[in-house]
Order: sequence, then C-alpha cells, then structure tokens
Amino acid sequence: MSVKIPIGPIHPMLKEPINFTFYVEGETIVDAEPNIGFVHRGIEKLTENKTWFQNLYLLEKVCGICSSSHQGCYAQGAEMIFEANVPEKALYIRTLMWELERLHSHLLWLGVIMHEIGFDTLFMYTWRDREAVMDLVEMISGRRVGYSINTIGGVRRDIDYRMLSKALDVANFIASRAEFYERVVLRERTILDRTDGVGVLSKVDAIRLNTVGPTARASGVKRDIRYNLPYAIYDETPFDIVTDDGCDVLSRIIVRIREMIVSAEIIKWIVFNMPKNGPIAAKITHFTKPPENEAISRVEAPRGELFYYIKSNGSLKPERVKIRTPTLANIVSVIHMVKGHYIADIPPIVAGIDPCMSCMDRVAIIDVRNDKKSLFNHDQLVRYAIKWYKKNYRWLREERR
Amino acid sequence: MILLIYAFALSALFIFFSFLIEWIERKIVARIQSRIGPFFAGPRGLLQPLADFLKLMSKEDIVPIGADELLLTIIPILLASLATFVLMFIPIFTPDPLISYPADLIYIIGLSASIGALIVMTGYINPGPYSNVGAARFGELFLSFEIPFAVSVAVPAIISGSASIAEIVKFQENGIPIIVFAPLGFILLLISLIAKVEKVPFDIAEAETEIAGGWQVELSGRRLAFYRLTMNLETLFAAALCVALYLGAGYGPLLDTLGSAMYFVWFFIKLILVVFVISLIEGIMARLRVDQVLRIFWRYMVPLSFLQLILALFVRLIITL
Repeated sequence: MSVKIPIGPIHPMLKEPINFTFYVEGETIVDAEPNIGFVHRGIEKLTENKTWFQNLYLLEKVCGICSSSHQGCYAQGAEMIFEANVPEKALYIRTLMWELERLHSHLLWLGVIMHEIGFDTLFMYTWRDREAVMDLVEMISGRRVGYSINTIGGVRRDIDYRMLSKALDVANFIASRAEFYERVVLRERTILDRTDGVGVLSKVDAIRLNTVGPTARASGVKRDIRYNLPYAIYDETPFDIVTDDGCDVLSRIIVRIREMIVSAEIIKWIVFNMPKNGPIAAKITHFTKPPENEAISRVEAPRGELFYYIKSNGSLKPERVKIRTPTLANIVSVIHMVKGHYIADIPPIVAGIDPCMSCMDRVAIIDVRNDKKSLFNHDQLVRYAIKWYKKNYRWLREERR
Repeated sequence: MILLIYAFALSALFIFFSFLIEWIERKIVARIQSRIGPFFAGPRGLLQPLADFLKLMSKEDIVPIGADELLLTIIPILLASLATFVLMFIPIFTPDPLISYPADLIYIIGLSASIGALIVMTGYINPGPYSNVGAARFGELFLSFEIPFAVSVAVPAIISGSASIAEIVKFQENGIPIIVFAPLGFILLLISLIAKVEKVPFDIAEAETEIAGGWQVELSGRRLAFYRLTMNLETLFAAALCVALYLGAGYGPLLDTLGSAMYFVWFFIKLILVVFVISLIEGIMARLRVDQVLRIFWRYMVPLSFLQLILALFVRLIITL
C-alpha cells in the first residue's frame, strides 16, 4: 500500500510554488504527480496589450535569473519581424550578458543543489563568488537583476574598457573557482554518496522526454542551441559543447561546472574580439510599424532551450507571443527520475533540472468539490469568459461605481 | 535545602553554558562558511542564543489539530529537565559531580536513551506526514547509534575498572587520558554523539530540505523553545561526556599551582576542542541519506565497537598485571 506525501506548494525544498504528490512505500517512491499552476501570471496575454518596446521590460520579468535570455530572445525575434540589421557590437554585448548570466545562474544553482543535500558551506561559497559576477553586471547595466540591456535592434548601453577589463578578471576568477568546485565535488565522499547514481535519466529517455539544456547534456545528448543552431555571434565563438555520460545528478553538477569554465572562455574571447567602435543599435523607434510577419526565436538560456514564437499583424503591438521555457520541457523528466528512489533523493532530483516554476506556469482549472482537474483550450476559454462576463457584468459595473 | 539551591544554580549554569556552546558552534560554522554569524545581540552576538530562546518563548502558543495537548505540554518540560539532570552526573566544574554513585554510567545511558525515545514520541503525537516520517527516521537513527554509543561509553568503565563517572575521572588524574588506551572508542563515541545531537551528516531526522524539519515541524513557540534548549543541553552533554570519559576531564598541566579553578579551565578548553571538531564536521560535509547512515552504523560502527570492547578487555588485563 502506498502513502501519499504531498510536497509543496510551500516547502523548504522548493524555492517557488509547485505541488508534487509522491506515492511512497516505506521510504521508496513508486509514483509521482506534478501539479503546476500556482503562480500563473498571464504574461503571454499581457504582451498583446503592450507595444513592442514595452514588452521588452515585461518579458524580462518572466524569470529573474535568466532575465537577459528572455529579453534577448524576444528582441531577437522582434528584430526578425522588423527585419532590422543589428550592429555587430550590439551582438557582442548581448552575448557577453548572456554568458555572464549563465555564469551567475550556474553558480546560484550549484549553491541550491548543495543546500538541498545539506552541504551549506558550498552554498555560501558559490553565492559569495556569484557576487563578483553580479557586481560586474551591475557595472555594465546599472542593475543586478533585470538588466534591461537589450532593445529591439541592439542594446541600450555601450560598454567601455573598464568594464571589459573587469569582465576579464571576473572570467578568470570564476574559471579558477569552477575548477576548485569540480575538485571538491569529485572528491568529497558525502557529495558523491548523495548524487552519484541518483536520478538516472538514460540517453534514450532524455531524448524521448524532450529534455533540454544541461539536463539533456548530462545524459550525453548533444543538445545546445548555441551549438546546433548558432545565433548572435555563436557561430564565430570557439567553444566546445559540454556533455557527460553519467546521466545522474552528479553529472548534472559536473556539466554545469564545466559549462562555467566554457562560458568564462567565451567571455574572454568576446573581450578580446569586441569591436572598438560602431553603433550599438539599429534605428527602430517606438512608432516604427513592423510588417506583417512571424518569427521563431531560440536562445540557449542557462536552464536550456528558450523558445519564443512571435506574430505581428502590422500594428504597434504584437498579435501573439508564445513562450516555452526550459523548465516546462524538463519537469516531466523529474517524474521519470524519482521513481524507485528514496524520499531523501527528491530534493537533489527536483533541483537537478534547475526548475524555475513561475517561468513555466500554466493554468489548470481545479474543481475543489469534485477533486477534478481540467485544461481549457482556446475556444472553451473564450466561451467560459463570455459566460462569466454575462453572469457577473452587472455586479462588476456596480463595483466600479 | 542547600543541595537544592546548589542544583538550581548548577542548572542555570548548564543552560548558560549550553547557550555559550551554541554561540561558539554557530560562530565556527559561520567562519567556515565565510559568514559573520551571530553579531547584534550582546557583545559579538554572544546573547543571540538567549535572544532566540526568549523570542520563541514569547510567541503564540499553537497546538496542531489532532495532537495530544497534554503530552505536548509535558514532553518538552520533561525533555529539558532530563537533559539538565543528566548533566549533573558529569564533573564539569569540580572533580566531584553533584550526583554520583557506583554504576551511574549505566543510569546515564538509560537517561539519554529516554531522551531519544521522547523525541520519537513527539514526532508521532503530532499529526502530519513530515512529523511522522521524521519520527520514523529518528527511530531508525536512534537504534543505530545507541549500540556504538553504549559500547564506547562502557569502554572507559572497563579500562578504569569502575562504572562511575567520578571514578573514571579520578582514574585519569595521573595525566594519562583514556583516549591513549582506546582511540577507536573516542572516535566511535564522537560519531555516535554527532548522530545523537542531530548534526550534519546525520541530521536525517530534521532534514530541512527533505522533510521540512521532521519531528520538529509541527512545534512552535514555547514548546519549540524547550526542544531547542534540550538540543543545546544535549550538545553540551555530548561534548562534556567526551571530555570526561576520554580526554582526561579537567586534568592537565598547572593544576597543582593554580588550584581547582584550573580544573574547570582545562575542562572548558577540551570542551571547546570537541565542539570545534563537531562544528568542523558540520561545516565540511553533506547530509547522508537514511540508508547510507544505517549502512555506516550497522556495517562499520557496530562491528568496530565490538572490536573496541575486546581490545578494552586486553588493555584492562595489561593494566592490572
């Protein structure tokens, strides 16, 4: 007989709200069920009410950690729609920010996974080292989180030699720290005990379940948008795709640590090859109307492939923006991974995909009385909305008075 | 009557020292993790544990629905008093503890085991899966560490030929601590005591990220304050037991010239040394899984403790010859 253990939406293991129902026998998990929808913010709908430029600052709030990836991905898609010629220097600055973001995101994640397995010391260490990146990001953009550096057609701020020299220092520092962390992780007995062989996702399953990002690469799948479909300046940047054949949480740690080293190399390359002068943005104003067009923009965010579909109807506002974040692609694999493991393995496995719940949240209708859950398609949603407004219209009007 | 007042004063002193130990431990762990640690309450944050305790005491009193209120009121008080009482057997301030009689070591093992049993009970009288899982995990841990603990406490008794702590301490008066005769026993005692006070890597029963605090999760306010006090007193007890049984209690150089005050100074220095080791292990390790903890204890610790028991008999034979 299995016992139901609900975890979330409020639990110290989870930094963001999601609800899992684990069916356990003793301490072993036999089945699990994710239940998302606690922080749905309706951002996709909101983009249709805002202009192309206002959306830049809305979409970077999709995720706090990978704000630049979201904004850059949207800007990249919008540039395709506007058919803009983006100056080369802008692409360099944008890529620099993306790679810095990858560094601090991976450092943050490394701290979180260490906290999940009870190794708080390494958590403190990685978050301390992360501050170096955050300071640099603040120096370049003026803000620590949500840098707002991208705009449609380029970037908003130029970069000077002080920032570049500091970027070089930070890249060297983080690379040396990453090597230290790799040494610690591979030698510390208790970390190996907790992560080696935990949450195994075989290569076949990783492809079958459509995992993306470091989760897929830790299962030996060469899946990296920077490598497979180079965007911005990644076709010039020399870098190796990092994969590992361990397929477990340990190899997810190793892949991310090695990716930090690769990112540091890319940052160094960008610093040395950054064009000296030149414009940083194409001329697109708030009142430039785009042609009727549609675009698919893909960016390798720190957590994996980020996918934007943008459609324009020729007006100042986009007709549709569809976002697919990496967490939504990866969350299904968690269910596959936890089966057969202990309750104690839940935190490292769930944290192992680097989940960002509020990025990926979707709406589900839950009937509390009958304990039923259903999803709405577009037509049903429209019909429901019309019905609701017919019923509540008078009440709403009175409320406004 | 005087004895009673003395006991009260001693209890207050124990509580003070347990807070001091918590502060030292928090500071050491903070320094390992490149943090500052307690800072604002009192000089260098010295009063932080007391402030935490008082704050918890002033919180709203909540009894979870479905829990036994009477038991939840009795058990914390019982636990804190047991933890204080068990400390009275250990000669911390003077070579003669407040309570001492032949074979009190066995009584101590029993008392500390009953503390563990009460903790398991707390987990089960509270409703909710986390609490119950935490209690089950503490029960498993408790069964595992109790054998190495009891055996490694018995080893000094075998070597010194007496089951009274005061006698064992007197045995080390000549300057040779028992750790010289039984280093393995000391390591076993230290590891099982880390499990007993639920520190990393054996904090599976509270495991914040897994089961949200385990058996403590439903506790709040005054009850939680008493449980925390119990854990502090247990830490003091664990460190003091290591010092008294294995590290030669308060005996050390300069004792003859400076008198009996030096006894406590030496005891305290050794106490801090043990606390430092416990904190260091807490700082540099990750939490193990339940099955791994059980494997460590049953596959390595229990057989090693039996080996140590046999070795102790040989040592005793050589000493008496």
